[in-house]
Amino acid sequence: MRTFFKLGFVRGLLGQVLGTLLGMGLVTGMRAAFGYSPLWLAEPAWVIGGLLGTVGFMVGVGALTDWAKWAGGLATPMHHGAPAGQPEWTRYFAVDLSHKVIGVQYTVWGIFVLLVGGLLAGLFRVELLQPGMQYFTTDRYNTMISAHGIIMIAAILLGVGGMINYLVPLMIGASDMAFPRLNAFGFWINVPASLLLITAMFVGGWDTGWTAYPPNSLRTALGGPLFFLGFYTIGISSIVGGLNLLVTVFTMRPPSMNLFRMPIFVWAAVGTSILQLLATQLVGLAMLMLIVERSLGMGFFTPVLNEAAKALNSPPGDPVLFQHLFWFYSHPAVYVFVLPGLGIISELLPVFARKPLFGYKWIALSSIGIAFLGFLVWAHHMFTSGMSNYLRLPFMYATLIIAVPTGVKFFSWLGTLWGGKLTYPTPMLFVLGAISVFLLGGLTGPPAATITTDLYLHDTYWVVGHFHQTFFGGFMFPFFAAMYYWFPKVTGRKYNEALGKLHFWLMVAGFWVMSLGQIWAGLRGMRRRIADYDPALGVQNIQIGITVAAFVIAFSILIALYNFIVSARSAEVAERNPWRSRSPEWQIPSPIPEHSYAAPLAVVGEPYDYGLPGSVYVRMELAGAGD
Amino acid sequence: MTTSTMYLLATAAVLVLTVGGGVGLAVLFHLGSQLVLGDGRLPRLVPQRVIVPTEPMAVLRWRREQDEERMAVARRVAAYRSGATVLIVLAALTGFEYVMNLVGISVFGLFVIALVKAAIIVHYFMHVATVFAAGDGH
Amino acid sequence: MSGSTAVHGEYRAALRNNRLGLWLFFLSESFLFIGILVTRFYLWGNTRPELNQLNGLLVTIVLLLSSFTMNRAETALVQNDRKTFLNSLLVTVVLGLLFLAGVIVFEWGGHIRPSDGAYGAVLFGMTGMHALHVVSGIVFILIVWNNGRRGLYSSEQHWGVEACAIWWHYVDLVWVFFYPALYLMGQAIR
Ligand code: HEM
Ligand SMILES: [Cu+2]
Repeated sequence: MRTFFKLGFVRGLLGQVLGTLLGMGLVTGMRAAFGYSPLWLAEPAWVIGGLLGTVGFMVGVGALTDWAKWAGGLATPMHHGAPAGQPEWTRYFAVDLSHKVIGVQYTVWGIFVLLVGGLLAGLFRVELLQPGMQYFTTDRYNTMISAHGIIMIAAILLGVGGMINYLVPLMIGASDMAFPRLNAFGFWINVPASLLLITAMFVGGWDTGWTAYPPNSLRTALGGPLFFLGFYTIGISSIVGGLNLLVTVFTMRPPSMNLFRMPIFVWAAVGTSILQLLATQLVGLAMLMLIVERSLGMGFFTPVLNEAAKALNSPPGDPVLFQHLFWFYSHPAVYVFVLPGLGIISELLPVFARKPLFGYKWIALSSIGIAFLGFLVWAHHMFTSGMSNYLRLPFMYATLIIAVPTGVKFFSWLGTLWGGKLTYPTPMLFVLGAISVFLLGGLTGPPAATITTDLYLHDTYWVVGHFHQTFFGGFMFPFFAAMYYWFPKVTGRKYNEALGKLHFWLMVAGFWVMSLGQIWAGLRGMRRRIADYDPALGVQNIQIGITVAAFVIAFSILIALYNFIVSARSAEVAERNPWRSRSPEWQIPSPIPEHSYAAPLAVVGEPYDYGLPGSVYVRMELAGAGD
Repeated sequence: MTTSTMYLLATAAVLVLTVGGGVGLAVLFHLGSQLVLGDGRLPRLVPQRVIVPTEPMAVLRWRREQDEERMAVARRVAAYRSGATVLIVLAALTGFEYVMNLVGISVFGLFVIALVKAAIIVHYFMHVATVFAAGDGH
Repeated sequence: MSGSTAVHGEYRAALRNNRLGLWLFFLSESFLFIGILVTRFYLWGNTRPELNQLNGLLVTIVLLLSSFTMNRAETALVQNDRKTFLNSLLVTVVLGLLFLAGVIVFEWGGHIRPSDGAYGAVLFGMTGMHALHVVSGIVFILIVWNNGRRGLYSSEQHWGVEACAIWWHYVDLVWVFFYPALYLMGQAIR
């Protein structure tokens, strides 16, 4: 019991509750002091409460302690290992500065959030089994699809954070990330943010989808502002995470590892981080503007003027502005979600094909190319928004051009597979599944990017199908590939291969059915984000198929979790390098000791020369040898 | 009081005001420039009595200390002076921007001025070059 | 002896990371402020509301002066001139507060309210977001001043002071763009 209340996580939760109450009290107290009535005004109370609740969590969990000490002029030595006098497992529930612990925290919390999002999807899919409303009100349905969207995005960002934090410092032989405290901060701020998103569902919900377009988002229920706040807070994590990673990669490599000798996943992480660092600010701004427009009446997005504004001859606000700000982040964000996944594919293929990675430089540069081109295509989401007509064509062409660097990756994967000595353990199956599914996403994108066809496809299930393909191909499948692949590294034990394969076959089959069903329903005119449909559309059988397939996917993921949990506790101990990988993290014991590398790394060869006899990638320098 | 006395008094008053004001301004300006361009200390009005040692070794040590102090002050003055120069240039650019706007300057022109100011700040105040230096500097 | 050089080397490595990190943060923040500027041009176009020009010029000069005193504080520390270092920090705080007063009393107290169409929204959005950064800078300076008073910085090792100084300059840098965007660019509409 004492241990329980000493856990940072529990203290954080208490802090969040207290902070929220404090914020609400503050607003109500101020209203009382200034003589407003009614005293209780839900929206400002919840917004300020949500804000102070987030701060309360961070204080409670202890993510700010070292900075507070610094401000007070106290020493802040690095701490390694479990909190003083506590058992080892408590590290994972407290602020810990080791990137390996933080990586696991990201991943586990990510999976938890993923399950919440999946549960929502399961619920609203049941509603769609037949026309008419059966189980939910339309408002409840809208809340659930909106929350599903943003919660899944949070889950993906957490998964991305997990992979990057755990793997990148190991891959470049760094002792840790450049800023361990910032790293812990970046993880922990996700927890109050996720809780805000979940709370938003229960205080009225909101019905804007994850895109929060005004004017609807200005009028939606109380869940709206909490969702904006949660989105904003997750953005903070993205920014500091991206910043931390870039500094780590630029300054903490061993001198012998030049940029083109880094493991390819590191390149992908750099591309993702550039996008996170720069683009996220814009969506944060957009969310902030929504909050102040709702609470202070600042008319950024309202095209109607009040009398005072007319007297000033002020121009009106404009809802399309929001879409520009939003998509300037949210298009690059889709590459944030998928670049690490694509990096995992490129990382694992050579291992399982026992062949060098085909066109290393091209893959590396294509990640950066995608990152930069990704900034220039946002308005392909806005062909029907009423934005200026002359913007349409350039954005269409820019979008079609971005298929080029993506195609580069595809050809290089094919080139790597070609003539390889392929083996098919679970991670490799997931990699191949990812390629097949991502290809589907790449094929359904261009019709949506072509103005003439998009005018029909926009806001239909076609788009839903498209982005589930890209997310599953670019994130979910590679994420599970990574989970299986590095499972022996992280836990030191073997996972159950049969269950892994079962997971794969169920998920890939379920996904193809679900996804083709969505595309098909979209072509038949099924709108997205609509709780009901006309039986005359003839999509009910398709909807049933999608729902069943979705449950198969959910079931397969539960199998995976069972596999991970049971194997981590009691399975056979894994050998040190079961995949015969050349990457440095596989050359040290599993699970990895506290200070990963006993001696600095020296890069002496190319990273992916699999199958070339006698070639080595890294050598661990003996301590004292050389300087 | 006769007209001529009044005239005389007025002349004297004007003289006192202009000369006094002038001298006052000059003193203020001097003090200000000492603050901005000097070593950051107000100048002493009464020079301090210095006691020069007589013993030969002590004289040597005293001289060396004096030299070091003078060099430190010189360095300090030079450092402070460069900051002041940047301030003056930035202030001039701000004034220029304001005046040019009255005269009529395009948005583009204003942006160019702002960019120049930004470049000066980034280079001289924010020492952007230190980012690229390999971890030395102060 | 070798122990102290190791510490020094560690400090230098950390300093390098810190600098790069802070500058990347500036880059990120720039996207925020560019987004705000884009909003201004998107909504206001080539017009602007009538504002008190004298006030605009005065707060700009005050902020510029504060940047100068901040630079002086940092220079003084490097030159081992502790008194000037601490005093300049305090002067910077006072100038920062003056700037805030100028914004809050004169800019926000004028005839435009936040709810007055795009003029009100953007005016308060720009000055508000900037003022928030000014406040953070003032808090930062006070922390550094307090730690400096207790002798925690030396002329060689003072990342805290450096970070605080360039953070403050960055806030000034933002105003270099915000001032013309608010007060000078486009045609004043009354
Ligand atoms: C890299 C993987 C990709 C990901 C993760 C991705 C993700 C997404 C997402 C999430 C949406 C829906 C946004 C919403 O309205 O909620 C979307 C829509 C869209 N995608 Fe992709 N996409 C990818 C690749 C592509 C490619 C290669 C193209 C075209 C060449 C493309 C073109 C489009 C277009 C035009 C839309 C807007 C459709 C509409 O709303 O009418 N995407 N994508
Ligand atoms: Cu897009």
